[in-house]
Amino acid sequence: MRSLILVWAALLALLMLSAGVSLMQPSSSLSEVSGLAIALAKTLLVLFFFMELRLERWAMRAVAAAAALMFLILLGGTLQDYHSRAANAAPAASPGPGVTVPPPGKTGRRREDLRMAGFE
Amino acid sequence: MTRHQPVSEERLEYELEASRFGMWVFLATEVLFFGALFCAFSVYRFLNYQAFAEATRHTDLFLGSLNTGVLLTSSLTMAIAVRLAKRERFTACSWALLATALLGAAFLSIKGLEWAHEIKENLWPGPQFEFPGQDATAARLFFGLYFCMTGLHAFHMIFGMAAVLVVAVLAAAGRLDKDNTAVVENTGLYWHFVDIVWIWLYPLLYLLGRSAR
Repeated sequence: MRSLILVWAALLALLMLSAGVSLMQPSSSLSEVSGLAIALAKTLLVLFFFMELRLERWAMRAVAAAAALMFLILLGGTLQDYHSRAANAAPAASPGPGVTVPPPGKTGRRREDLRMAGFE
Repeated sequence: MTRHQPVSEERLEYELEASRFGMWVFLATEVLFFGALFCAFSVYRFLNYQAFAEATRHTDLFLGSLNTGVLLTSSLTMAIAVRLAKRERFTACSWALLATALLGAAFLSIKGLEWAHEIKENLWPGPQFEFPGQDATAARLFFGLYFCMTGLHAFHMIFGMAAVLVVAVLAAAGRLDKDNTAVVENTGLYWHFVDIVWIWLYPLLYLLGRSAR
């Protein structure tokens, strides 16, 4: 029981840390890295202690790892697609009739992606 | 639910493990179910970085953090319930389960309050949608995903609470014994999974971009 309460206290401490970091308004990259790293730490605590994955044999851990891996393939593949469109599209694209190309620059490229993806 | 024939300890452990294995496989499919939405969120955030950061500042950080605390605490009471069930203390287990369900209800009430505020501020992505920032189209996407993801999560919470209450009644009525603690364990695994989904929704919807000015 005591270990469960200690894990809970750690989870609440991590929660306060992530909210605190966000309130201190650091640079956006620091806030993103800390937000996601803290979420990962909380997830591992819940998985290994509350869901007792630390007591399970490897077959059970493999299922959890496979779920994470499948999700990362889904996320990684999709983001890679959009990211490469942003990298390749702008300079070489020849606009079709009636298409106005926004000026280059980060925002412009993303707008272009939206158009290519059919959202605008 | 009691068995007619006694089974060996080894056999029992084998059966309990098979049952948990099935639950883990089900949860793996749930990861991909929510994963599609997390993936969509990541793509739109990548395409509309500034607008998503601006929209994040319109969610309620205080209520979101409070709710995260409530949900983490409900996971503690759930883990305690599983521990008590394994020690065959089923009356105490039913109280821990009841506490879990009540914390779940508190979470949903706070979430409902938040939604009511946001709908009042015309942030529901319908025809009334109004956003004071620069890119209202992208902000509408953010709030579409916000209501979709928190709504799907709330639906899972409602289902989880129903399951927790059923198990609490079974435990209180003396219908559980050491042969069928799997029902407590598997309800626990589901509850913790829903908690983990929220652990990731919290930074995405409340934290990231709040500081990006």
